[in-house]
Order: sequence, then structure tokens, then C-alpha cells
Amino acid sequence: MKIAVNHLTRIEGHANLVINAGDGTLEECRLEVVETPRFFEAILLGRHYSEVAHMVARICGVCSHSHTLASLTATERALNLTVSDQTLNLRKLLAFGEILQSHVLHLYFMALPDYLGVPSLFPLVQTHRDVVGRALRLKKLGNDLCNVVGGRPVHPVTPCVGGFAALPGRAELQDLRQRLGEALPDLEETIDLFASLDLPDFLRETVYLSLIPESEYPLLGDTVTFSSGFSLPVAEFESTVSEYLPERSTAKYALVNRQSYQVGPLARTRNAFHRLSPMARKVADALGLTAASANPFQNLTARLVEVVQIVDQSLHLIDNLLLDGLRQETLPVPAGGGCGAGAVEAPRGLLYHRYSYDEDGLLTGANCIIPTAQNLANIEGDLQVLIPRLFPGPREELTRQAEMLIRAYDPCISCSTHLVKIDFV
Amino acid sequence: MILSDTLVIGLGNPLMGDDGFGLAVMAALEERALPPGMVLLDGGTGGLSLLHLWEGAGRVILVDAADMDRPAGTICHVGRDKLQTLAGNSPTLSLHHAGLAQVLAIGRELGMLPERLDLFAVQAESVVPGTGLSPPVAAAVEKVADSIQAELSGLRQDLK
Repeated sequence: MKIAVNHLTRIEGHANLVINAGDGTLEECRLEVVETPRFFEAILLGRHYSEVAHMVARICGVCSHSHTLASLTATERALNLTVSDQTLNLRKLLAFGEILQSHVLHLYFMALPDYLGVPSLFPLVQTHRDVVGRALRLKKLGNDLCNVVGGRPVHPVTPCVGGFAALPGRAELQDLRQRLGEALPDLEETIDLFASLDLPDFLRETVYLSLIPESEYPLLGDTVTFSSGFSLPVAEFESTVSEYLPERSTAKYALVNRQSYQVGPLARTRNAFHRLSPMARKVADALGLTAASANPFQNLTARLVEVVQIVDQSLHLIDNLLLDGLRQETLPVPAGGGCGAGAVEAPRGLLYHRYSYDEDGLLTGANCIIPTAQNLANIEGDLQVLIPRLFPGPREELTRQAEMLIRAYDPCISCSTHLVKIDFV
Repeated sequence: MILSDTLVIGLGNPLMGDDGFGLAVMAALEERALPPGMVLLDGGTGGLSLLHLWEGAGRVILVDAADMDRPAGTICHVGRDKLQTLAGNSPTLSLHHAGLAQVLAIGRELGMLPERLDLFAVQAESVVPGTGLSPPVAAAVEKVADSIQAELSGLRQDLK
């Protein structure tokens, strides 16, 4: 039996799935990433440090804030600059906005159609108009968080090396706070909806990798932790991960100690379950997510728990910002060049940037390790266990579950372009 | 999100060659005298965020590179009716970087399209990683800026 799914739908970018099965055994299972290879790292060469973050914000329309934040952190490490607590808090709020809108988009528009038995979002617009409306309201809240802090809903303009070029107004923050509170009924409805869905029953333990800040839930920070029990500084991450380019793929894969590993929502809840806010913890309990959950389909549950966590944390963060008051700060000017790395937890997992600059502040080298590249080998590992369990079931069910598993990771294999095709008839 | 009746939104990715056309037109328009109350926006590759971006606007002009099977640099002015038919294409493709067609389809179904909507599209020559436009597409930047300025001036007369 050979199954080839060309252009998997409801994932970001283009990928194919090929399954080759013999007599009850799986002979081959591979994900083919067919997106055009990207050369953004080369585009950055020779650019001034002040331009780099604004350029990398264009790599992806979904994760533009995460790329910006990883980039700024890497540049600041390279140029030996420190930032204030105010800057760190505003950056957290920006990251929350992006994760919120990305998670909501995945939960409702990418994943939900599978569980409601429809091929895409479009039938839902007709049959579940209230659900689509709710999804768009929650997504807009994430967009507005990004807009107030970053100066734009996508591709932010205010975050810069050393701080912020412009600060959000008090009234805008107060308005956001009020709207976050008003979103709670939408969140409750979302939890009820996803609690009613049956996730496939599948367990495969793997290594879970995320940032681990000193005391908070993973978002920004300088330490990477592995569920297998060791941690290392972000600066040593690149030398620990082996990146390789399989013949069939134009995206790099990543391994640690020759093992695949997982990044993203489930990896974060695995590594920092005890750091979830009381409200998020309650939702995790209600949805059956634990510190030991090893079902990759539960990335969906972890994503929803993180939505609750983010709304909760954003409310507290805005309260603190309003209490302290925002002050325009003088941006530091670096002296000389250097090398440095920075990482953030993007919606899909750990995102790493590393740069080197010469004495004039011009970029001489760059590398970027994206979450999906880190998950690809793990997705294949899951499929190799999942598919034989479905033998000798119907081909359609096998394909459906394989696609759902891939989507659970919310892969982003983006070309960052969206050229519209117009046929004149 | 943006309280203005008329928006001009440039779409695309300036790191992908001719896909940077929409933003190049925005930069050209910024240098010109435009009717008051009109807002220029960088829509980038925000996909569905477009629906929030144009919320509340009565008139929206989009500028984007496109594949129209025409010679590179060809400019097309696509009106709302034609844009509505585009909305039927490829409804199951990715929605993160939702293509314009998908955004329009959802907007149409949910009644979230602006009352007046136009697209100025240019046929791309090369959409590959790299900055800068190909010569035929670069030559179309000022022409499209002229057309948009004329459109908006017409709009102002309409309002008199």
C-alpha cells in the first residue's frame, strides 16, 4: 500500500507525506518539505545592527514578533547591551499577543475542522458562524496586543535594539486590559468546545525541549532545558543541536545526541507544568493535561491551556505596567562588534538566532533555527509508531490520523510570500 | 482597528524580490500630497489580519504583486466584483499566511469586506529571496502610485 498526500492542507507552507506499507509492516514514512529554500541569513550579511530585526520581522507573517524578539536579543548579546525591566515586560506582552493570535488561529481554523469532520474552515462559516466569529474576536485581541505594543498588528516597528522607539499610551493599555477581561466568556466557550472533542489515544514519550526562565513559564530567557534532565545556556544551543538537510527536504532537520525531540506547547507544559497560572492549571486539569502527558495530539490541549495562561498573565503584566508607569528610555549605543545568540519561545516552540557583527556594527554572520525544523524528525518518529497501529484499517482513516498528527504540531514551513493567482476568463 | 474611512494597504514581503511591490508603492505614496484622512498601511504578509486591519473602513485599495499570466510589470486594476470571484479559489489552502483569495472568501462569508474594494496588481517577474524589484516591476511603482492618487482625487470630488 502506498499513500501519497501531496500538499498537506491546513499547515503553513508546502509539504507532502509519503507512506509505503508492505504486508502489515511500515517500510517507509517520510515528510517531504517542498518549499523553496530560504536564504534570509544571506540577505542579512553586511546590514547594520539597527536594521536586522526589522528585516527578520519579514521572514514570517505569523511569527514576525518572535523573530524580532529573538533577533533583538541575539544582537544585544553580541553587542554586550542590557535592557531594562520595562523593555522586558513590554517584550513579553508583545510575545503574548503573537502566541495568542497564532494559537487561536490554529485551534479554530487548522485543527477544529478535523474534529468536526469537515475539510476546511469554510463549511464552518455556514454551519458554525458563532464559532468562527468567536475565533476572529480572540484572534483580534492578540493582534491588538501586538498593535498597541509593536506599533503594527504584524511586522512590528517600535521594538529596537536596546529598548523601544515608542511606548504604548496609558489609555491604550487600559483599553486592552478591559478587553482582555471581556474575553473571558469567549475563552470559557472555547474551553467547553475543545473539552467536547475526542483526541486520538496515542502515546510516545520523547525528549521535550524549551527555554526555562528562573521562575516564570517559558517565554524569554538564557537557559534551554531538556526533559531528559539537563540544561544549557542558549549560547551553547547551536553546538549541541545537529542540523542536517535530508535529500528529500529543503528544510533543515535537527537532532540532539542523535535523537529527535519536541518543541512547542506540549514541550513547554511538560517542562514547566508547575509554573502555569492557577487559572491555566485549572483548565489543564479539566482537559486532562498533566505534567506527564506524552500524546502529541495533546499539543492541541496545551495550546488552549497556553491561551488561558496568556490572557491571565497579560492582565497582570498590564496592571504592573500601569502601576509603574512607562518612561521613555535612552537607547544604548554599542561600542565595537561581537558574537551572540538569543532565543524566545515562539508559538511553535524555541526559536534561536545567532549573529556576529564587525567593529562598525555590520553583520558578518547569522544563523536561525526555527521550531518546525526541530519538530520534523520527531513528527516522523511519531508517524512510524502511529501508522503500524492503524494496520490493517481503512486507508482513509490512516491518512486522516497521519494528517491530524502532523497538524497537531502546527508546522510552519513558510515561504513568507502570498502571491495571489488571478485567472482572467 | 484603524479609524479611517479610506485605506491604501500595501501587501507583500520585501525580502522576496517582486513581492515587495506593494510596500514600494506605499513608500512612493508617502512622498505625495494625498487627501486628508486617508491612511497608508503596510499589510505585509499578515494574512487574515487584513480583516481586522480594514475593519470600519468604507473604502480600501490593496496593492500587491500577483501571478496573472501576463508580461512582467503589467498593471491590472481589479474591482470588487472580480475580487469576489477570486475568493472562490483554493479554499482549503493554508490560512496562516492566507492568500488574498482566502481572506476575501472568509470576509465575504462573514460580511467583513469593505463596501468599496479595489486591488492594483502588478505581474511579478521574480519572487525569490532577495531585496529589490525586477526592472519591469520597478517601472510600475510610480504608475500605480499615479493611478491611486487619481482614484483618491476622484473620490474627493465624489464627496463634494
